[in-house]
This record gives sequence, structure tokens and C-alpha cells, in this order.
Amino acid sequence: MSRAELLTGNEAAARAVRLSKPQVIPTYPITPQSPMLEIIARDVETGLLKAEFVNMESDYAAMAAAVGASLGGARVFTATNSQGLLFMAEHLYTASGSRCPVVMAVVNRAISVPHSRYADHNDALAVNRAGWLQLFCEDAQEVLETTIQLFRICEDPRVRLPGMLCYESFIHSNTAEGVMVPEARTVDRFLGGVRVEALLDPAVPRSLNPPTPPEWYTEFKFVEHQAMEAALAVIPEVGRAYAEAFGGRPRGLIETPEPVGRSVIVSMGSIAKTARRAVRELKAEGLSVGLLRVRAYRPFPAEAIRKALGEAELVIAIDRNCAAGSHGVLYDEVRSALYGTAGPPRVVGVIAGLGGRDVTVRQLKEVARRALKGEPPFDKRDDAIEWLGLDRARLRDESPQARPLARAG
Amino acid sequence: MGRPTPLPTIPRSRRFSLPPVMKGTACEGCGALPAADLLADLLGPKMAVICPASCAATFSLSYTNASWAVPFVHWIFESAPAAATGLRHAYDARGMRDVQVVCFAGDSGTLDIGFQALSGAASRNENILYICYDNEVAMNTQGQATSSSPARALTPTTPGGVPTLKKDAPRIMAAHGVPYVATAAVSHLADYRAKLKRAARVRGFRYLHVLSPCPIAWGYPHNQTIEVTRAAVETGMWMLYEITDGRMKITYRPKRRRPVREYLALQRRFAHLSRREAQSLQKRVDESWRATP
Repeated sequence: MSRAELLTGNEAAARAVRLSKPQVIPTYPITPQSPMLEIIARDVETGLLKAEFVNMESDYAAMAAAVGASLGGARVFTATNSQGLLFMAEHLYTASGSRCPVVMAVVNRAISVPHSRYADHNDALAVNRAGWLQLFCEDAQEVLETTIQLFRICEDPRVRLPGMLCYESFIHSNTAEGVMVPEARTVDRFLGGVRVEALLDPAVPRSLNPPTPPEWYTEFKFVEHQAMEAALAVIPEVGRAYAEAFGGRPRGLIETPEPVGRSVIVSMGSIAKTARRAVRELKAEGLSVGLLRVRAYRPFPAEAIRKALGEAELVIAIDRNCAAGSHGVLYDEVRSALYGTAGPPRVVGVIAGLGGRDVTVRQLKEVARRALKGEPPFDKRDDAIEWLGLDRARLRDESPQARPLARAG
Repeated sequence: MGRPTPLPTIPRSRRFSLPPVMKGTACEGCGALPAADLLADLLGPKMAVICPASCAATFSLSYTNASWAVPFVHWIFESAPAAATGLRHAYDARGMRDVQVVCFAGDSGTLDIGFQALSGAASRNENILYICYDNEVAMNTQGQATSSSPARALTPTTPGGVPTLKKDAPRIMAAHGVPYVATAAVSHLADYRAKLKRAARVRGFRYLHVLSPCPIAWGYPHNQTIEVTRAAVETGMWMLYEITDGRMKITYRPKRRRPVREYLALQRRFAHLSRREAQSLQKRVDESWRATP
């Protein structure tokens, strides 16, 4: 039986960790992931969770230790975000290349400079080629479910890859919501035993990571790619199994709350949650606007997206990320997935919510209406991209970095 | 200098040996080989070795051959002690407390790029045996200076000679309050062996720093590795000691310290030294011995 509790995203993740029983948890604090670590540390101290909790000297070291522990055959959990995730980057590749099913919470936070503690997705997306699964959550319920599910997905012999559980700084991490929490015994049954292969085992001595010649390197990368493709099937499979075991709706690669209609907002994370209400209200106004939420960003569910958007005429990709000189990732990847289909929909882009800027129902409705009407910048044939809520008056000021340092006193 | 001493015969363990095709990957006279050999001989087979980027990582495995018959991983340069921490806790969680987790790393991976991870693991007193084989340069990339390079030595990145002093790693590690720290040299294998044995019995973080010369970087004939190492010890340039729970004990005291210039004269990397510079090095050695219990 599941029980309803009031939990923040961090608390939901910590509770899921307690239920999933990782054996080694190497950590390093960073705002706003640290409240979760503190709960886990207490759980280990009081015996609610039997695990080795290790206070590492850096985020980088935490990921190195996570990989080391996984090579030793342990189920491993850790958490980070923003600067910490970038600092870890080198070992993200160690983890995926070594096929270590480490599960990590990434409490998505904007990257410095300029310094920010608030939400956007640029941290996880900066490492979207590192061979990690990346699942983006829309609320605390999904944080809990996805954490538990990721252990099963990542340890699945068809996958054996590390996975990131992505939810947003403060918006999710520090906001309490009602969450259905499953019973410990049923989670044990759902996850089964630890399925982490001990590649460093004195009983079977192996030497790992030899300098690999060009004749072999490609094959290593290809099997990693195959594993990621296998995850396209395993993610919905595990989502269905979870719903069967604990109730709730089965979660897969993407989510379309209702038939998408002719115009579709595509987004992920908390903006998708806001967009649910926006499209409901737009429908009530008689406008045909649907929603497609991307839950699995890696592996990228191109096939599922193509199917879901087959009938659409307009796609509004709303990205909580940016790359100077390029586009938002959803804009690019959705457009790429649709290219070559018969009569593909037109794709326009919206960059929104950077550095924690609020994205409201009203704003989403307004931008959707303008996109439908083809108002600027959505009248452009190519790269019709709006920076939502951009205050052009501020651009006339000197940029913050060009300002002289504030004088003390 | 007399006749060059041949490399001593080291008992070949089955746990570490270069497969025939790997012979070329370690240079003749490599000081890291005896350091690895004795380690594997004494601690195996219940051990796992984490070796960051280094010469040792290179001679330890090729795509089709492995030199170690124990679990071994060629690791990222700067994080061997962090990975060892994870591995240690995985073994502990899985009831494999009797398996030794060992880092075998060069001086750059230990004292420069890897220093934060080293200090972190030592601060937590992780139950790890850390061995730094010190050839006083980043030799895997052809011998650039490291913070373990001695004052005045020529390296490709210090063509005028190293302007700073060699980092005193063992004492920095001892200052972490770890249970066991020792220095060793590949010329004094009985001493190294005794320290490995002692370290293997201690729980907690153990640090061994082994002087392991490199004929190519230091500039001496490859069959004189042991002689050069011995000269480092006999002139007092390299001190053999151990620090157990904070108490320092000299484990080998030269009866009469030979002049430092005899050590310097063996190596091309010091060939440019003036008499005055040699004297100043001698003075520094004398002072360090005077300050030693």
C-alpha cells in the first residue's frame, strides 16, 4: 500500500533512496541538493538505510568514488548539479564507459557566470553526450518514482548505464507537494536484488581500461549506443511495472496528457507542468493546443515524438536552456526528429525560465497564441525563436560584468 | 664509480610480471618495476590496484596483455584515491574487508594533479594503501617537471633547472594524522619489504613513498638504477624513515654520509650545477639531518 505524504522534491528523492537501498553513497554538498544529503546521512546514522555514506572532498571525487564503488559491485547513489556536475564531467564518461549503473540526482541549476542558484537545465544538458540516461521530472511525485525506477532501469542487463534523475532547483527541490510513497517491502520486490557486476573482483582478476587501439574504440562506443537504444524499451517497461505494483500512471519516454491536436507545446521539467494548465485553458478558449512532455531526454525518444506529432501542424518547443550561437535542445532535436517525415509540422522555439525566471501559465498561453497567429518572431521562416520575457530595456544598460566593482563602505 | 652494479634479481611473483610483448613498454632500468613487483609479491592475491595515468599505467596493460594478475584499473590521472575510496566502501558493504585496496601512482598523479584526492582520502583515514613511486618527473609525457622534482634538476620544462624545492610529500601526509607513513628506495629492498609488510597490517590510510629513479630522465646508464638510488640514500639526499601514529623513526642511517656531490655527479640532470650550488644542496641536506630525531 502506498501512503500520501507531504514532501519536497529533495525529500521525495531522499525517501526513494531509502527505499532503493544503495550500498555506497559518496557525496559532496551543493545548493540546493544538500538538504537531501542531510536526510540520507541521518537515515544512515539511525539505521533506516544500511549504506556506506562517504563525505568526499569534491563533486569530482564523489563521482570518482561512485564509479570505484560500482566497479566493486555496489549499488551507488549520489547527487549534484550545476558547477558540481561540470566539475564531475570527466568521470561521467568514466561511469558510462565502464558501464556502471550509478544513479545520480541532478537538481538542475543555472551555471555561473553570472552566478545563480536558481533553476534551468543547462547543467545536465552540458553533459548530454556523456552516455548517461537523463530523465526530467515535472513534480515531486515523479522525483520519487523516477529515482526508484532508475535503479531498475540502469541495472537492467540490457542497459547497464548510469542515469541522471533531473529535477529543478528550488522549484522542485524545496517545494512541498503531496506524494504517494510506496511501502518498503513492495519496493524490495520491485527492484529485486542488486544487479551490479563487480568488474574489480579478486576472484576474477581483470585489468580494466587498457589503452584501446583504433581497431576497437568504435566497437566500445557502439555497444554503449546499443545499450542506450535498449533503454528506449526498458524505460517504459519499468514505468508500466511500477504503475502495476504501486498504482499511478505508467511513465514512459514522453507524455501527452490528451490528444495533442494541431498545435503542440513541447517541453520538459516544471515548465511542462505549468503548460498542462495553459493548454487546458487554451482549449477552453477553443484553441487547439496540446502538450508533449519529454521525460526521457537521453536516450532521445525521436521515434515516439515522430509518432505523437504525426498530425501536428505547429510545434512550439519551450526550452529551459540556451547555447549562445545555437538553439534550445528541444527545438533542435524535435526538429531533427521530424525532418523528412511527410508534411512535417513547423517548429518554432521559445527560450524560457533561464536562471530561475518564473514561467507562468499566462505567459505560456500568450506565447502560444502569438505562435498560432504567426506574430513576430514566429513569422520568420527559419529560427523563429523567442526569448520569453526578455527585457530589452536592460540590454541598453552596461552588462553587469562591465560595471565597476561595488565599493565597500 | 667503479663497475656498474647489475639490477638485483627480484623474486618474480606471479602477480606482477611483464608479459613478453609488454617488455618494451617499460624502459630498461625502470625504478618503478621493482616497486610494483615487491608490492604484488607481498600483498597479493587479495588486492585490487588502482593506477592513475603514469608510466606504471602504461607498462601495466596493453589492449591484449596485462601485467597484473590481480584486479587492476588504469584510472583517470587525478582521482585514484577517490576511486579507491569508493571501491573500499563497496568491498566493505559487500563483506570483503580482507581485500587490500591499493593505489600505485607516480609523483605527478600523487603530488600535483592528484593531491586534492590524496589529501581527501587521507583526511577521511580511508582504509587504503597508497604507494607513490617517485621518479621526480612526469615521465609518461617525457619528463616534465613536477612538484617532486628536486631543486636545480634539468627537465624539459625547466631548462634552467628546477627553481623550487622538492615537495616533502611524506611529511605532508603524516601531518594528516594517518596511522602509517614511510619512505623507501628501490636500492634498499629489505627495508621496503618490511615497510610493505607493516603497512599491510595497519588499518586506515597508509602512505609509502618509494624513490624509483628513471635512467632516461635523470641521465645515467640504465644498468645503474640501484647504484644511483643507493647514492641518494647514502648521501642523505633521500632519507629512509617511517612515521607510525605520529612517531618518526629513521629506519636506515648511513654510517658516514657520503658527500652530496657524489650523487649529483652520477646524473646528467645535475651536470650544469656550479660548485656553489652543489655546496648549497649539501648544506640543505646537512640541515635536514640535524633537524631529524
